[in-house]
Amino acid sequence: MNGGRTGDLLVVNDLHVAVGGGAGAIEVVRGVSFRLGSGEVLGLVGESGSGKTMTVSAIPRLLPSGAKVTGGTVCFKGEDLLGVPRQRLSEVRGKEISMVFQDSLTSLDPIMRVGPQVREPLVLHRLAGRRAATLTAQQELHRLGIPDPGRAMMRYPHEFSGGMRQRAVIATALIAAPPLVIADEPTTALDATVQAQILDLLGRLNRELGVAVILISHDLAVVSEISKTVAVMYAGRFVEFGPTRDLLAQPRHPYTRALLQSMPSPDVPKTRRLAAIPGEPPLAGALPSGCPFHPRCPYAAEICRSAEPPLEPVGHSLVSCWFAKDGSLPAAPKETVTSTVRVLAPDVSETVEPESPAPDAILSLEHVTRHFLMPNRLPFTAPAHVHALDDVSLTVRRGQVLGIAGESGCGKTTLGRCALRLLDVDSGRIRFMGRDITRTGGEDLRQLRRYMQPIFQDPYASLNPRSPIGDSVGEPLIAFGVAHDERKRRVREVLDFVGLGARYAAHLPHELSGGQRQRVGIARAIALNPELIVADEPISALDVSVQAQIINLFKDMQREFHLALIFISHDLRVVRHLSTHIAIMFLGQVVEHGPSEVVCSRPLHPYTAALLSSVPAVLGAAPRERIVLSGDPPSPSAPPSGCRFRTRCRFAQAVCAQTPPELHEVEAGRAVACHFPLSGGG
Amino acid sequence: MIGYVARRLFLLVPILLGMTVIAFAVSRAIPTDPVVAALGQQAADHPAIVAAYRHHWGLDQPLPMQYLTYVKNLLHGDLSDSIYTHRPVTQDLRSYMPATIELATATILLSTILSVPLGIVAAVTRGTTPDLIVRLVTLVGVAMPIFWLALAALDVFYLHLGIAPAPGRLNPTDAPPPNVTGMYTVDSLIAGNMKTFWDAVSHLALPALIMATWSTGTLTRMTRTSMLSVLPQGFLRMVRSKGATELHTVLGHAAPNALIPVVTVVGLAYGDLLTGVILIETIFGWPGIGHYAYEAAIYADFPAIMGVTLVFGVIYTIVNLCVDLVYAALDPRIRAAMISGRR
Ligand code: SF4
Ligand code: SF4
Repeated sequence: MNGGRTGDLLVVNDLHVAVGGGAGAIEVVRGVSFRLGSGEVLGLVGESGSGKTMTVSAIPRLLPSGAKVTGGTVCFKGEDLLGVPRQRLSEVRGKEISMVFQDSLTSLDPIMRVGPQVREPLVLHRLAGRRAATLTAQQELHRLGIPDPGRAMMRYPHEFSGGMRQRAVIATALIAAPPLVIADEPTTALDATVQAQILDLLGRLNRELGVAVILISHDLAVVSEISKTVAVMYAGRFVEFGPTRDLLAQPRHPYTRALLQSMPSPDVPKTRRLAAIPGEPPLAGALPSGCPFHPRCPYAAEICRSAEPPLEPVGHSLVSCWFAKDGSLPAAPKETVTSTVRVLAPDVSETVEPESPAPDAILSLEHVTRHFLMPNRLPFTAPAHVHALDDVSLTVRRGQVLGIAGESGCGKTTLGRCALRLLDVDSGRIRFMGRDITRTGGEDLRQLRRYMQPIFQDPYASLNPRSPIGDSVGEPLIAFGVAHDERKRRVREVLDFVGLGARYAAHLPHELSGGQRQRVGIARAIALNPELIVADEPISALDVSVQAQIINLFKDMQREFHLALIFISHDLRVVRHLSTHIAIMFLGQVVEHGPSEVVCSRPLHPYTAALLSSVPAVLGAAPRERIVLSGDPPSPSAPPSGCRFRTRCRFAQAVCAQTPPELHEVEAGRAVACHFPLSGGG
Repeated sequence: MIGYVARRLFLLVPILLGMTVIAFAVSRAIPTDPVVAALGQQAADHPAIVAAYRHHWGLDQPLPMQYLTYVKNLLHGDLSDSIYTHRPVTQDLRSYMPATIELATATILLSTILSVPLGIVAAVTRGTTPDLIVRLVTLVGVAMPIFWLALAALDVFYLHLGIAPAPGRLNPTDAPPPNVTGMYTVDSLIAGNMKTFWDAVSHLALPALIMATWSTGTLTRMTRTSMLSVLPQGFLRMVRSKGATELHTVLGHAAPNALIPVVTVVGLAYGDLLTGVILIETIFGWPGIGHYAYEAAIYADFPAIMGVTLVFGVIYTIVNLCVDLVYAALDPRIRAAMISGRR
């Protein structure tokens, strides 16, 4: 319909997308409009199911089968892409608009060498002959920081690490120099330090080559790093759309505001519960009436339930809320429905820190080592060792939360499983409440399980799909012979505690949402009043707006039960917010360990510093110098000699390659494994 | 990679040894008396004849001795003589096996050429008319009793229409080409005798076509299923986003990935065909290994049974090895696993 101002590269107008056909069709995008000028960066934020991926997939008409555009126009350089014939479409794709998808492993043809895949756009569009295209592809890979691009071209996707693959995908998207690149969660599957590299790269490409970028993420912080404008999507529509700075500094929509407040950040005191958004994001097929956010909105009024607010200009932004006009939203939202019902004075700033003498050590690992053998089906070949844990010593005391952070493959999951004796260790010692349990087995081990409980990333996998929640929660109680009535009472109690309420006892796991299932996982873990809980990535699978609820629940649990908690996560923001102590792991070893605030504000190990600086910051408050690590984590089966971090360390010296640094105490309760620890401050 | 093949071939030794033990035990456990079977009831009533016979064939030795003798001869490439045909089993196998190989190869080539495009078309047009037609036809192919189909085909094409030749490998008036491989089509080509070649081909056509109805059905469905599992994968969306046409996306990226698992099924089907389809061989007067195995079983012809068993063992192992190698050639991930010794 409207052509668009001159200079507009892309004009999306009133886009509608539906999944399914006929009467059962569900609208997943409900009228999205925006303009993008050449060389601009638009960030698109939303939770799963908000319609963000559908919106951008519709632009080059790459919607998954079953979904189709039901209305609106997509004008690219003045041409409505929704109306052009297929032939024209394949001329546009790759040459004018290219895409970077989330999962780089599934984005590449697994049986084709990387080189031909990267150069394919040039070949398909006849922009270059094969030989010239190969050269260009090499240059492109080189520009994206892939070492030895000539050899890299000859390799297959599975021989690349996640970061390398994502770079190859980005190289493919850029090779034909398209004016628009759409990146759909390009960093979600990657480790923190690699994520930082990729974001850096996208930002640079935009600045240096003037490529316009649409960057999609569920993480407002990621998007705000490089976008000038941000759109927040909720239930298939933009709810707030405006300049990044305004949106972050003065969010106008209650959802944006709540998202920002629910993020764990160094500015939120550890003792405070996060301002979690209650409830869960709605399903596309069952949107609430009126404003779809109203069941979760602290400001909801009568009109919100009956009519959906239009997207209207407020300040420099567009906002879809009846009360978004300046000043009409109360500044500080009143504390609303919290997940837990009990009275737990939320702001009593009593830290869980040192009570008089050091509290009892609940669990200690002493020099624990665990190797894995790669499976090997044929005789006569030497199996490969993977050092999952190498000489790890840690202690967690009653009332403490020990956060374990590190990138994939650093051994944090193995550590959790060894601590719970779900895995045997090769050497070293595990003490639990003063007792050596390294080799405990059989009935003794079973009895021990009463005092140590796991919480997993996906509680669904550990719940019997056919038994009601109440039974699942009561199961450990039966195992340890708790009488029927007592059991009933306890199940009710813990379900109440996790904010599900006793009425959920009769529900089946599949009737629950992800957040609710994680609550069940927590209820089950605390049912026996254990001394130790090991939680492995317990919130990573949850929607952003739900994560804060579960983080709060962990905080409540800690206060109420005063147990020892080991909290494993790749997300340093969460670990920092939740734990009293932190251990940073790299390739099977603890490289730094100490009280979490001290470690996070004054990191001593270069890796800790890099990890901290790779955490995307929402309000680019103090422009920090970002430490972008080069390369990817080395392979755990062949770690570098000496200090394992040395291949990525900016401070590495000759000695680092020869002598592995010992983990040594530098101040009380603070240890680091580095020959040249950073001096405080940085 | 060479190391891998060597290891696999080396493993063939224990497999074959194991098979001889089993085959030996089973063939001796069959309640049929080979003497009766071979000499007839009358001769079997004469103890002297029986004793002489048993001594000649080593049947009077204790079982372990019989086995050791057998293995010793085996190592010299001697599978001993068939009780029924009175010829060395190796010679029998050499004359029967090529016929089967010829038929099986023709069948598998035919059905692969047919089923891959059919399966791809069906998957791409999933749920629409072309897909339905392909699925219906292949269903019929799989479900139809093959001997019935063979008889019906002979009846129509040979008896009524007269466009197919009579059963057998060649017209009775044609002399077989000089023996090189034992496969008449190949041998006649080597001899440059086109007339015999076309004759052999025309005799081959009908049985191969009939057997192919079955394997084409299976292969088409396998191709379709495999394509359907590849088509929704993310890398195809990426290929499209580069500006590839649908044709290039399907043929250039989807099909190469989808056909890898099909290789296994082709291999298995080929193995099945190679071990002979007795009914077809009988109906079409095809002197193949299935035929031979059948007679060996009826006459309790131990050396022949053992020989056939060993040949089948070798065929299965080699076909499996070839499938694995083709797999490795097609899929770099598997190749990597093989080279690193993790497979
Ligand atoms: S319209 Fe009402 S319910 Fe919706 S966000 Fe605004 S105040 Fe909340
Ligand atoms: S020991 Fe050397 S290489 Fe390792 S972290 Fe310290 S400075 Fe870097």
